[in-house]
Amino acid sequence: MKKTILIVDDSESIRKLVQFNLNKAGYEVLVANHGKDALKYFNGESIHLLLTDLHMPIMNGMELIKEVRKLENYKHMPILFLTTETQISLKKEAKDAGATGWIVKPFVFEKLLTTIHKVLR
Amino acid sequence: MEDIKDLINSFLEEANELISDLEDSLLTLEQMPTDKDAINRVFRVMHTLKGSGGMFGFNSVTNFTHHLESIYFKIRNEELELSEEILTLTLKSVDLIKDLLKSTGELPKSIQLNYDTLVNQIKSVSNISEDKKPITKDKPSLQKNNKEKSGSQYNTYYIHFEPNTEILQNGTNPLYLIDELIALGDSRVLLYTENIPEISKLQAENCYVSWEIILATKVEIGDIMDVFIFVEDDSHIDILNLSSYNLLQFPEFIESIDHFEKENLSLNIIKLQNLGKKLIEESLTEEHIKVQKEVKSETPSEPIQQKVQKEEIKKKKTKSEELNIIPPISNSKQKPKTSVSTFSTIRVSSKKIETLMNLVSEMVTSQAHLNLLAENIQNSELSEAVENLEKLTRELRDNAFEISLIPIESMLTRFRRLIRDLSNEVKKDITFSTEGTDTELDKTIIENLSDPLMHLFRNAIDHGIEDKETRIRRGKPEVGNITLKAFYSGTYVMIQIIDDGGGIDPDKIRKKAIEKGLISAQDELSKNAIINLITLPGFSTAETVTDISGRGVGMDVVKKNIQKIQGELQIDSKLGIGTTFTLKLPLTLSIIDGLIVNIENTPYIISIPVINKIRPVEHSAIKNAFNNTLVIDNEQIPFIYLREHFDITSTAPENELMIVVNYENQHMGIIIDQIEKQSQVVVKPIGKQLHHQDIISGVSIMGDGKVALVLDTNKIIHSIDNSLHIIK
Amino acid sequence: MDKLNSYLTFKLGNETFAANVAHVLHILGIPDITKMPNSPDYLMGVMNLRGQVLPVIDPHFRFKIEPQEITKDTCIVVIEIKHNEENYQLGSLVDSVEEVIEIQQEKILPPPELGAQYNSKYIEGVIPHKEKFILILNITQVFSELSSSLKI
Repeated sequence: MKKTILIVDDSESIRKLVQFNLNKAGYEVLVANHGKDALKYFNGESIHLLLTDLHMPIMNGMELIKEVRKLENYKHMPILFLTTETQISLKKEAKDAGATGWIVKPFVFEKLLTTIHKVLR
Repeated sequence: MEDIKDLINSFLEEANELISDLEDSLLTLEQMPTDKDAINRVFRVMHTLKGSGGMFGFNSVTNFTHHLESIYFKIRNEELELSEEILTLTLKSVDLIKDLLKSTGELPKSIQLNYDTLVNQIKSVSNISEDKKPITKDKPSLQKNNKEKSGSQYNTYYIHFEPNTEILQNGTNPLYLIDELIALGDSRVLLYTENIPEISKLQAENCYVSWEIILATKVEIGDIMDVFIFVEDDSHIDILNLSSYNLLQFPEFIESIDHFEKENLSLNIIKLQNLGKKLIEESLTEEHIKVQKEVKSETPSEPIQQKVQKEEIKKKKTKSEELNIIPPISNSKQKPKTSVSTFSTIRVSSKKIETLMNLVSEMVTSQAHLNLLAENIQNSELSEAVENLEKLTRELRDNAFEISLIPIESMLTRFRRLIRDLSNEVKKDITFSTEGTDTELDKTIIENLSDPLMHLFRNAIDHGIEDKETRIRRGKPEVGNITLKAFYSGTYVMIQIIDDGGGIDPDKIRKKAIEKGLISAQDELSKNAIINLITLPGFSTAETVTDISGRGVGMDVVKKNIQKIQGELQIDSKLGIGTTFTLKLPLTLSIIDGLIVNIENTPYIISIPVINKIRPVEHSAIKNAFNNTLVIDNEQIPFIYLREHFDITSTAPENELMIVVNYENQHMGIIIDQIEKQSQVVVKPIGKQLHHQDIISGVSIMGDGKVALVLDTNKIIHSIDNSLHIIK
Repeated sequence: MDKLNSYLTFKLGNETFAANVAHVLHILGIPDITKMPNSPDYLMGVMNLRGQVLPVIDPHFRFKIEPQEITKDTCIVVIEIKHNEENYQLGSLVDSVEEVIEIQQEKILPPPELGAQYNSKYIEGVIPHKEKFILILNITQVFSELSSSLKI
């Protein structure tokens, strides 16, 4: 069965790029523009991994992570957030909010895959 | 289709930003080739371009930056020095990357050609560095070897991983991490479950287990840490290097681990480590015997050392030392590295050093004040304490001063480039060699040197070195040479710019100087004096004889700039053979050994190194002197009467003093009222409002708080010299 | 909107001048002043102010006032001016320092036509004070000209 990954990012190019590559790697991919937009998927749908940017309008990544962790069905779902090297300080905050790990932007696609592989098999 | 275009455009925008950042960093590196931050920035940009390039279909960018990145990887790890060659190569590469970003599909021929050339050059640069390795001095080459070994050789690690009980709640599956570890090499994994509480207290969502893993792997410890990157903050993780061999290759070792597992005991690291040592020791000895046998039977001519080195010591020589195994045959070249890593240098911002120097300067001034007070009080205990403190102050000053010195090498990069670019421009083959570039100078002096040096190099290339045909005709090597030579000479640093070009023709200079009215046709000047005429203001104009005109362009400015930093410029030239510019520079501008003298109650300071001797003279002798010259110790010495020079009208003392100073290979006298004392003084630059003071090169605050004026003897003499119209 | 401005008043000869306190850093007694050789008359020399070496300027001539003898009232006012984007500090000789007065901006009168004695560009305004008029100096003008004329 294909695993489903939800990508949340306000940058369309990143979204499309990641979607394109993850599709090729054999994942089912859902996309959302921001946190609020992403929450619509968490209605019992099977999502195996949430991949979210932190800085987004309307609802940012941090809030999204907190919201998702409140939902019974998604308590153990791995969550990776996208960050840049300059925002490393956010790691702790995001982890406290419930994130599993992170991936530093910009990244090589292989790196994204190995990181995903860390939390999703 | 639109989407992909957008994607690419957004990538291109990012790429352009990255490239301009890269160019900025390269410019920085051109000035400061060792700037770590800049190197890191370059590396990061390459890395990012490499990564994202591929993501957006610019595979050529990815492939190309991959090559380039490898150079900067080495530079960053200090395995390779950032040379001018690499810098130029990088600049060319940046241009290529810009081209590559314009084409996604097959590359146009010209770009492809450029691509291949650059890749070859890049490869040769990184290969050269590898070839060079054995030649370089002991230490670095050993370090390098060690680095290589750690990349390609096994290490055995003990890893203890005890996740936070709540680890599962963040979506982490610790089993994935164990899997990831196992994938790194050979391993034995022991699971500990004794912390699992009884059923009643057990919470299904918590993790109660821990692991011990023995991992033999070729990856570095950092890669192992990376496995735990998401959990390292809230888990208990120990990673220990048990051995620099693959201990899991020994069945005995595995048995021992199994034993612990069976007994459900924690691994005893000490026992395992000792066992490992023993096993390796045994195997090394065996191997050694084997090798010796081989040597005897097969190739008796091959030196034993070499063979042994190849077969076993190579394996982990340095580490075997740690394990107290002294190899039976040791090669002195292979001294094991004893300490892991020590910082031999640290980077400190120049701002901090400036502050330090200012503080030290103030301290020296306060010390002088204190000395004065102690002298007045005349208490022997106090005097002793003050003396001790002064010793310390002096030492501190010397040390701080040394810190603020930087090697001449630091400014050479841009000259290398300049010389190469310029000589290409004028189509001359010129090599640039350097000598003594580790000679150190005050930062301020170095900063102020680059303009004059730039001029000198430019002139040497433009007009000094002849074109190929002329050189061949003159029987000189086809390729011209410019050498920068630096060395210490007393309290001075000498820098010479030597070219093997056509030299300066004194006849032409003389003719021109007469034309310009700088000398008269009757003036008898030595050849050297004539050549040095080119530094006079007004000597050079655009329309002069090519052979020498370049020498004159801005030479007065060059000389002025050098004098500004208390330096002197001397020119020697042999027609047809070459020209040498010699810059004589003080080590520092800030602290000098000074003689404090007095003229009409105003304290002046004369730098002691320029003083030859001091002789009393009677005022009447000065008054009656012919042509301002007095005979001192059987030598005719021209002198400058400062009272007159400074328009002081009050009555002079009956007995005055002549300070005889060295001036361009001759002696000159300076008449002063009296000597106060000799002292180390901190010279402060003269206030902005007082720049017109040419003869005062700085000021210094004395122990009593008074301001003394530092006399620039060269300038005083010069101002008179010029008005005397250079008749020596 | 009544902005209060503070001025330090001082005397050169018999004339009272005012300087905006924003320019004034210190007021000192007469320190050791080291004469600079071959310097113009208005440059009295250089002084040491806590490790800083500052030029000392005698502004009398600027206002065509005879230099006075140095008395116990004679002071050095250390001022700071900005000229060509650079801050300069210097000491100015004054014959005596009077007081610091505060005055509302709108009470300051425009510089009068003063005839030949003072160039009006050195005067920013006039403060009517105790039945007298105090001239406010344009410190930057007065001293930046002096200091730039010190350069070649």
